[in-house]
Amino acid sequence: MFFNHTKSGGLNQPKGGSPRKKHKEEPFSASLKSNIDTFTKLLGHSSDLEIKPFASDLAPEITMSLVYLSEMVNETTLNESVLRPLMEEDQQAEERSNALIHLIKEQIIQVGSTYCTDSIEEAIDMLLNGYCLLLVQEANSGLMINVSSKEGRTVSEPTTQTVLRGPQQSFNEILSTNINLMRQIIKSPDLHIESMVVGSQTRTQIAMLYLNGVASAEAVKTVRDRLEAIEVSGILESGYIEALIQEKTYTPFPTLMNTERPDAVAGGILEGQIAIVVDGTPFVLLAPVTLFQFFQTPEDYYHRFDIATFLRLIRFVSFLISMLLPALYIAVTTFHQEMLPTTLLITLAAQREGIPFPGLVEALIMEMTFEVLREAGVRMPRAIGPAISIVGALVLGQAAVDAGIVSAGMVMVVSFTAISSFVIPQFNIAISARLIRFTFMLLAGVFGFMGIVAGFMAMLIHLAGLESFGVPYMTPLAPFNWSAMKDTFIRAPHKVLLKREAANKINRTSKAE
Amino acid sequence: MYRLLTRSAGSLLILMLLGGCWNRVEMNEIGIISATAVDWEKGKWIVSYQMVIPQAISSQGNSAATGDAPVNVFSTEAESIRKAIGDASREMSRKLYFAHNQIIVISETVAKKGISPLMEIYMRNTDARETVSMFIAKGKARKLIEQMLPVEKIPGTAVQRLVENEAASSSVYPDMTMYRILLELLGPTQATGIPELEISGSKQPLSSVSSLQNTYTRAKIKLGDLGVISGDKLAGWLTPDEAAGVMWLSDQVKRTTISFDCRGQGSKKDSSVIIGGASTKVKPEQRADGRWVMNVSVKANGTLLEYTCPNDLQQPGLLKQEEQRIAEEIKHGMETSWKAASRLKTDIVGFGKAISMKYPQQWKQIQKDWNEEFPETVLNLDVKFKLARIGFSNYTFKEAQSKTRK
Repeated sequence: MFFNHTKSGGLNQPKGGSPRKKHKEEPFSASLKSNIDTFTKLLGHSSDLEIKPFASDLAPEITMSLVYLSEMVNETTLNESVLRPLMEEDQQAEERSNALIHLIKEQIIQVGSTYCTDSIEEAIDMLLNGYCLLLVQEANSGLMINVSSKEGRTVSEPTTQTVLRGPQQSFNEILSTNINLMRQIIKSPDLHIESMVVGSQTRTQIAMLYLNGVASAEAVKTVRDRLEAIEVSGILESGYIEALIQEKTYTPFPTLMNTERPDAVAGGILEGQIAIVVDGTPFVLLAPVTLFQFFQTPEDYYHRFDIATFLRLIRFVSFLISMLLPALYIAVTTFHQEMLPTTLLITLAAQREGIPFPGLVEALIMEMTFEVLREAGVRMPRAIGPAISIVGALVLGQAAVDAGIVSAGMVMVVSFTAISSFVIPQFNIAISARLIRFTFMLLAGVFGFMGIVAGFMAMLIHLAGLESFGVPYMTPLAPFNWSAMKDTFIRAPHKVLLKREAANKINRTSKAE
Repeated sequence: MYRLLTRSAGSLLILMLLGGCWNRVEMNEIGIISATAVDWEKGKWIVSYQMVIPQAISSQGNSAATGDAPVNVFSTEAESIRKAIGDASREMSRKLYFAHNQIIVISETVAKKGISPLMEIYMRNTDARETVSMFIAKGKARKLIEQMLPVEKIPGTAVQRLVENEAASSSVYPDMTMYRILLELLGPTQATGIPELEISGSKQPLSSVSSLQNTYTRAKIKLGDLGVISGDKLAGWLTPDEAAGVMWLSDQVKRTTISFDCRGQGSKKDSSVIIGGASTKVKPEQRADGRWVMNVSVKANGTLLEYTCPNDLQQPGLLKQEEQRIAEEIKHGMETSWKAASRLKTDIVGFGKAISMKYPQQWKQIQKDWNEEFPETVLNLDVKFKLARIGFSNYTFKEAQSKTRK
């Protein structure tokens, strides 16, 4: 597939990134042969390196060569738009060497994206990106022509963040497609796209998208600086970027959001967030982000406000449940039996008769069983799915109870906890809740409610201390912002939200002055 | 900083190991007590426990069908109550767990001897809850917690519900929780009333599950008289009728039914009214001769429940007349219980409290001899009753019938 990058203007000459350390900056030599030798040597005589010498009618006495990686280029474009015009040109040019290259660039080549380079270093980079290089005898520069072909999926439905109502488009692995999708939604000249290359080996293209004037200049600068500071050999997924640019490494809470939904990214950008698109993954990062944004889905804004509010509240409750319920159950059944209504106590006590383990161990067994099943469910080949779910249902369900290993109440608690953790739209915060759950369970098993309260306090302190690109993680709860409450736990009607947006705009302009 | 962190983390870890999970108790290690009975015999306290057997009650598993008894009653004895409870560990495989103890029944002997040791336990111990309802049994207290109740699985809980239900719907006895008893016995008048729990019908308690297989029960648990406690000892008993007036005098009536005679004084009280709301205000006043006058004003309203007189309720003035009669009835009830309380020389109606709040200075002087002085008090009753609704029908059934005949 050929993308001529016209829409993503800045992408053609990515800057930044760590310099390639293997070979130092080398200029082209005037000799065509020595240039070709350099390329063959640097690319290790790779079998897909094509060097095609040819003579053009343009300047019959001058030898030229096309250098490209055959697997990276689109042969049709190469033939139709580069070779044919070069061969069939009948005007006789006077120019030689560098001037000839400029003539070819400006008059002959029928490809939009071309540029001259005099650095072998850069030339190799672009070759690896699917450009072809035109070398001319006696010229000490080369012409890069974009004929790249990238393999990729078509734009398909989101698989990890599905909505009932809303656009059914998701990003794919190709950066240019992803940027195209964003431009389709935000058709504003204020949408700025900065692109850079990260990873000394993978040379992964990444792009930073933000709405100029809405995103805080400070945050944009922080993100840019941090991206530029990355020194790593390879970026295989946006998760690498996330890990490398986040503020605190040792926290279970994500300080960047990832999504494969263009509408979610667009929403974030419109609210002043910065999106980081990484080539090779459909997951786009959004920063800065606050804790409460992890409980919002784009769908909240597509439904009516009352329904959206209800659903959002359910998500918050589910988050707490998935974090605390097993711990509360352990604490109540082993320390604070007096808190239960008598009838419930007796029912639970009857279930626990004959269970050999203490409540904590019982809960850990069930939780671990569930985690194993879940992990198996993700890793296993699709075809085995039903088998695993049947075994899982039996193991987690009736059999464990009948065998007298766990009590029925515990099975219920664990199942409900598990289901609650799937309610949260963002997978990475759901998984932190799962992790924290085990801590809470241990605390509850050792100290009862006191442990849970202490743990919760510690968690709140940690959360209050977190920052995401200069924004406190608990905003708008701490620091408290009343007007932002309209879109935090509840989702106020759009009319009300518009007022808030207008107020924010005034704040922003007055700050800028 | 790092050293401090590792040290504190290390010590915390060791602490957790040492603590051995602190005061953790698994639910299958506790014996849940649902009712306690305290007797006094031959110089020893006998404490009986009604322990719930969860397997027999829970709907889970097969044991529910086998018809095991849902509770097991056993007793221990010692010189002190707490010692007796401690001794239970010698004969029970489980730790007795009192947080869900719903009722405590004491025998009349214990009540006459003084309930202070029991109060002491409830004030001192964390596992004893003050929400326990207390009762006095005229015979052996243990008999009452052996009694099974139809419908209910746990007798202790059932009795608590019984008294709660009673307090909410007929307001003859207060639901005397340990908390209230403590509050009143430590209050200015140091007197309170504790209802009697009795087994009516056959005197043999219904202690086997098979006896519940009949469609009737030979013996029933019910609330009897009101035991009046003065200081920490039982001063005497009030009959249910006398007890009802106490509730009026001490502003505890929530909902109750009052029977009255619609034909006039002396006839059968075959009409009744349900009290929907009532409030009592007591205004103490000292007369010149030093005697105390209690101005008790009651405001109540209610709905007509049954009316047997052939009167046309639409007739002007008639409702006023009936309201007057009901008010008289309430007044009469209060006077009766006032007389009874005076007879026992125990201020369970809380007049002393009213005085102490309004005249703290004078109260200090009379506090000591209050129980002697109390029967001398002059009662000045003023009852205002309002019939809020007369129900769906304007006529009695008989009348309605005769109207259709025409």
